[in-house]
Amino acid sequence: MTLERIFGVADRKALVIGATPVGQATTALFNALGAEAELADIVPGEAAIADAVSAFVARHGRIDVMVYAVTRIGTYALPTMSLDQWDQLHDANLRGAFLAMRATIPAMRTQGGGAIVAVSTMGSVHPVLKGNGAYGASKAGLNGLVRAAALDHAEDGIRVNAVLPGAVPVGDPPADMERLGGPAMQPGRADAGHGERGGRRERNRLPRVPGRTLHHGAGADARRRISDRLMKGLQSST
Amino acid sequence: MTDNQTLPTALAPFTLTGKVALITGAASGLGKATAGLFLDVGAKVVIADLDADGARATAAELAGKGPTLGVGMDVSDEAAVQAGFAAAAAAFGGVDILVNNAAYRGKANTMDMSVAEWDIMHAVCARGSFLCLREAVKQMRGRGGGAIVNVSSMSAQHPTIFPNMHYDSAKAGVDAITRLAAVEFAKDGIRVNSVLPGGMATPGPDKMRAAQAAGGAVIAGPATIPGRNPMGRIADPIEMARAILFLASDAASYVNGAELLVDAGFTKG
Repeated sequence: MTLERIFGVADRKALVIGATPVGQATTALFNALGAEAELADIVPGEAAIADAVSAFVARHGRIDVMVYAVTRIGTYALPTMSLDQWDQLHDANLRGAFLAMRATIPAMRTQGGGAIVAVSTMGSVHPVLKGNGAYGASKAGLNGLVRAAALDHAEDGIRVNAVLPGAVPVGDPPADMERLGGPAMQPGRADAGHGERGGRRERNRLPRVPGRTLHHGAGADARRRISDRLMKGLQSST
Repeated sequence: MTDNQTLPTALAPFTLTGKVALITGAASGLGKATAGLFLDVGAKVVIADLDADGARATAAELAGKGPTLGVGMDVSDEAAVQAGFAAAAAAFGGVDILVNNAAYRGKANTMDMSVAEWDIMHAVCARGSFLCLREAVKQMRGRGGGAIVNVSSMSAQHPTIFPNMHYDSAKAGVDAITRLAAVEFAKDGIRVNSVLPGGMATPGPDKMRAAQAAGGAVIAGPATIPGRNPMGRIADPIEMARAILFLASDAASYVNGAELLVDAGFTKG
């Protein structure tokens, strides 16, 4: 069938690292399409990632797809950001991605190829929130890692790409996160509404066209409700 | 006809069931491959091409896959574009998807290029994309939204071959149209994205080489260096058509204003 040949992942062995909403949705979609996908809900340290990958390969015999979905957010004012805050974001978003690629690529090379996808953010290429220095730098570093890996391993049949999501839920923000505002917090700034997580039904409950609704549509109360909902979503996202 | 009835539900957003698509430059090459793929996944397809006979022939050839209409259309001619979209509306009720694929492939040396050569490149690639987008938006607004995919080129972002200055300029203009239209028409439920192909095995490059040979020019530049392509091979048009399908389908429902490189990693190497 045409579509299964193009977008199908039947029988692919896929490891998704990072139990974020995107990681969970990706695992569920792969499995709904007949893949054998597993979600690794781990703290992305050197041993944990190496163990997760080697155990996956031992169970399935191969690893066709590796998705690095770990995302740690946190907005902090630069003059007062602690080294720990800086390091925690880089450990999760960048160092962990390197470790995951390092653990995965030898198996993919041996089996003749594979696909690696890293979940980055629009904030890596475009200012989104104030206080995003550590987050944006870690994800921009991730983009650089992806470009390098794509070049290094094209000849091994391994494709490496990044997805740069807009506003999408990423889980609870860290307790020490500071709310500093920024371009994404401006009313009507998101052109096409908030991204879906749980499927079409959930998406349709969200304001599909907030820009127009906020400026030309509903009354003040409705505008405030929609605005609050959008803000709430964006505060817990990239 | 489509075999979508047996698809897993998770693949449904990747289909174009019941959608009407207009594809320019669709008598051959990438446009024809895209038309065939769209028909395979349930769309009705208007095959528009400067070569009216070719458009009708391709429409007839692909009619076994699903509903087609072949129309002659010079995308740089406002009246012709309006007539083509009117024909699409008359046949299928209106357009849900536009693929701006038509391009001019002439080559000319920078230092002695005629103004006419510069102008026809921009008339087809940039003005043509604008004119088709405008007619598409009119119809899409009445249908609750739509998706527009502009076929740009990796050379809009990265030097590939020269002499190619007018082509690179026009394709960069196409990407500017994508970015602006994505923001301007999001409120209408219309998404606009670009696909940026790398080197592809279609008649376009053959025509390009013939034109260049006739003009005595020599193709040079990064893309002519042996081993420069990280994956070491030229693309089959269907590999671009699949990327176009993704952006045109509901599977890309939150992708808007993107410039999707489909270039084997050439621009990273």
